[in-house]
Order: sequence, then structure tokens, then C-alpha cells
Amino acid sequence: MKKIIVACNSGLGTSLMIRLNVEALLKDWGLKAWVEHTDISSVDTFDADLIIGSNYVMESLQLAQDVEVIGLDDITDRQYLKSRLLDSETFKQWLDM
Amino acid sequence: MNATQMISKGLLGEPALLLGLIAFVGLLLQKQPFQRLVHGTIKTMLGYTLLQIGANAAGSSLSNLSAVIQKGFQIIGIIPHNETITALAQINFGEEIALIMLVGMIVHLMIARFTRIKYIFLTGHHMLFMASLLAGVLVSMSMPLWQVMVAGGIVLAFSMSFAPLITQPYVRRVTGNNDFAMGHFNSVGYVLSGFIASWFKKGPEPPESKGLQKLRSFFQDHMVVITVFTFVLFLFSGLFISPGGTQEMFSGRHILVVSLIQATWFAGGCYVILAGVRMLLSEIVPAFKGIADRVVPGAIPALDCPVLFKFSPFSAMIGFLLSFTGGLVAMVIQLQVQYTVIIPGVIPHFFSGGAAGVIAYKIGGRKGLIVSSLIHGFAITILPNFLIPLLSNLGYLRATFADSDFSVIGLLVHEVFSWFK
Repeated sequence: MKKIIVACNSGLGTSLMIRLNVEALLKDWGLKAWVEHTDISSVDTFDADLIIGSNYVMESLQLAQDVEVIGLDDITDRQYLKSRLLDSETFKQWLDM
Repeated sequence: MNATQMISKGLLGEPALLLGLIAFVGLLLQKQPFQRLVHGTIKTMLGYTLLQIGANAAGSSLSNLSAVIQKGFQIIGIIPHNETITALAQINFGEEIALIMLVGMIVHLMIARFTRIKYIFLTGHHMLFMASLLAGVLVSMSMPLWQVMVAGGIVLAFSMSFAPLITQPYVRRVTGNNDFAMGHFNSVGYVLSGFIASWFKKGPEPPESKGLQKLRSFFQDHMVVITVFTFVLFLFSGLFISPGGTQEMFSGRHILVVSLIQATWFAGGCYVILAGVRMLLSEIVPAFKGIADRVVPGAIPALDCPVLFKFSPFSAMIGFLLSFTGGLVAMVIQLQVQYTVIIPGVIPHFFSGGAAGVIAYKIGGRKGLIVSSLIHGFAITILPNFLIPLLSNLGYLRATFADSDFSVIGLLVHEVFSWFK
């Protein structure tokens, strides 16, 4: 199963909001994935396929592993999130399968 | 033990079980499958336990820090840090807090359903912080449990509806629409900031420099910031005690080692608390949102304050720096006049100061940003002073709530309910 991590500064508010949006989109597409939200200190401890968060937070990430990262300009707009997800390599591969 | 005792002492007397029950009911109302039901309930209970474990760790380091500050400067230093004070409150008032949250969520949904205030407050951790404050203040007034639950729940519900309501005129000017509101308990600070900024005129926005970008990047990681800040605080305060004095306090170890260990211990405690809060809320907030989506058509979600940062990252950063400067000024003034001093917290100034900066800049331009942010930082550092006497009855000596609404609502509640007595 694919693992998606949503991260924000404290891993409490913003990341949970984005996570709910991601989960709603996955449900629309009939996809099953493991989605978790966390703070940026912990991002590296998850073995994720995709990391999502606001642009500012993603800019400060120093990842050890080679993972696809999506930095969002707008963290509230679900349509924008949808287009960014569909553009990502992870989702392109996934939807082809 | 009869059935009512069984419920009040056994099932609901334990906050972990009570919170588990809230999550369970929420998930049940959403007709989730059995497996998800068990999963969500257990994770909520686990989250609560983590909160208690983290509180012990952070609390022990905090009391050491307090001892060092007290010995070095002959004052009591109080750190405004929502997570720590909430976790400390949970140890004594877990049951009250859980019940206030439950009643608060229900009344808040009713306000959104039946009045024109259509905001749904989705910042779960602030909901928990406010419930903790209310439990602390109300219990100290020796009210019976049911009154604490009803009064606390109603005040919590109104705070959750009014915070987005009073900030929305300014948020709308920043975002240009009415799609979302701010659900963050620094609304008094934001209104103050917007109000002061409205005396000034707005000019063109300057680009963000490389240095600011790097600085912003550094401040994104909470744990690193908390560790560095606590380390500096420990070391700096330690320098005012003789080397023999610190070695006596910490069984012969050098202050540099002590500072490093205590700073990581405090940050570690905060990390565990955060993990606990996260686990707890990741079940309760979706349940709350699921119910809200069903019962409140046309609701406006009220979200955490970083949603504003993207509208002007430059002013968020400047807002933080100037707000923190205002906080330092407030601390120096307190040093001159009293024994207890609020040490400006990096995290609240970064978030509240940052969002207030964006509002100030969008309304009052550069001059508005500068003047507003300084006053904002000063105000949010002075405000908790008035809250501390209300909390210290309960033995909270070294930590307090950070954002402005907690102090204002704590004071209001104390005043209003003192009347009734």
C-alpha cells in the first residue's frame, strides 16, 4: 500500500486539514492508501512514497531519502490539491496500474 | 458500587476512557466499520497516555530551569507554552477537560446550525488548550463537576464561534474572499494588530530576501527551535550563578552539560506531548468535521493561523521578529517591577506574531506592520501576567498559556463567575 505523509510545523492543525482533503480525494478516486500527518521533525522517520505540505514547510525539509515532495501554495483549496496530486509522478504511476 | 457510581467513577472518571468514548461515539455516528472503530478508540486513549508521559518529562526539566532562573536572577521565570501547560493541567483535570470539550463541540455545532455565526472551529489542539484553561479556572472556583462541564462547555463553544467572527473582517481583507476563517485563539491579538495597522496606509510589497528565507526555514522545525531556545535560556541563566552553585544543584556536572541535557529533555517531553495530542485529535477532529458537514450547511471552516502566511511570507517573518522584540521589551519592564516574569516564547511569537504581521501589513503597509507587530508582541507577553494568579492556585508555577485569548477569556470567566458566588 502507498504511504502518504502530510507534514506541518507542529503536526497538529494544518497537516490534519490537508490530510482530510487528501483522504477525501482518494475516496473519490477509489484508491486505498495509508495517510498520516505529522510534524516536520518526524518526516524522516516514516518510509513514505509521497510527502505533502505547504511550500514554506517543504522548503525547510532536509530529506535523507529520495522521496517525491509536493509543496502547496494554497493549503485550503481542494481543486488545486487535486491537480497537484494528479501531476505528481507517484499518482501518475499509481493511476496507470 | 451501583450503576451511576460505576459510570462516574469508573468509566468517565478516567479521562483516557472518556476521550476514547468521545472518539467512539464520533466514529459510530459516521457509520465507520468495526475495525476503524476499535482502531480510533484505542489510538485516542493511547494519545492521552502519551500526553501524560510527556508532561512528566517536560515538567521535570521546566522545574530545573525555573530553579536556575530563580537562583540566577532572584525572579520566577514563566514560559508561555500551550502544550506544556495543557499537559500539566491534564494530570489534575483530565476528566473536566474531556467533558468541557464534549459539551463545547455540541454547543458550538448548535450555534453554527441555528444562528448566523456559521464558523466551524477545526483547530483541534486549540480547542483542547482552551478546555484545559477553562477547567483550571473553573475548578479553582470550587464548582461541582456538572457546573464546570456546562459552564466550561458553553464558554468554549462561544469562544470557538467568536474568535473567527471578530477576526474575519481582517482575514477577509487579507484573503480577498470568505472561503475560510481563522480558528486560532489569538483573535484578540489579531484584532489589535489589524486595528492599529488601519491607522496607516499601504505601499508596494518588497520581495523577500535570501537571509529571511533561510531564517524562516530554520524556524519551521519546532523541536530544533525549542531545544536551542531552552539551551540558551539555561546557559544564560546559569552564568549568573557561581560555578560551584550550579554544580551543587546538578550533582557536580558542568552547566554546559546540564543545559544541553535539560534542553533536549524538555524538547523531548514536548515532542511526546505533541505526538499524544496529534494521536488524540486525529480521531476527534475528523469526527467533529464529519458531523459538522452533515448538520451545518454553508459552514465556513476556521483553520489554524499558518494559513495566512502564504499571503505575505515577508511580513510573517518581520511580524515574528518584531513581535518577539516587543516581547523582550515587555520582559525587561517586568524585570524592573516584579518578581514573576513572562519569558517571551519563540513558538507563540512565530505563529501568532507571524499571522498578526500578515494582517498588519495587508492593512497598514510597512509602517503598520512595524508599529502593530511591536505592540502585539508587547501585549501578548504582558497579558499572561494577569492570568497567572488564577492558575497558580492550582500549582502551575512555571508554565502558562501563550496566546492572547486564553488570558482574556480566563480573566473574563473568573470575573463573571465570581459575581455569581
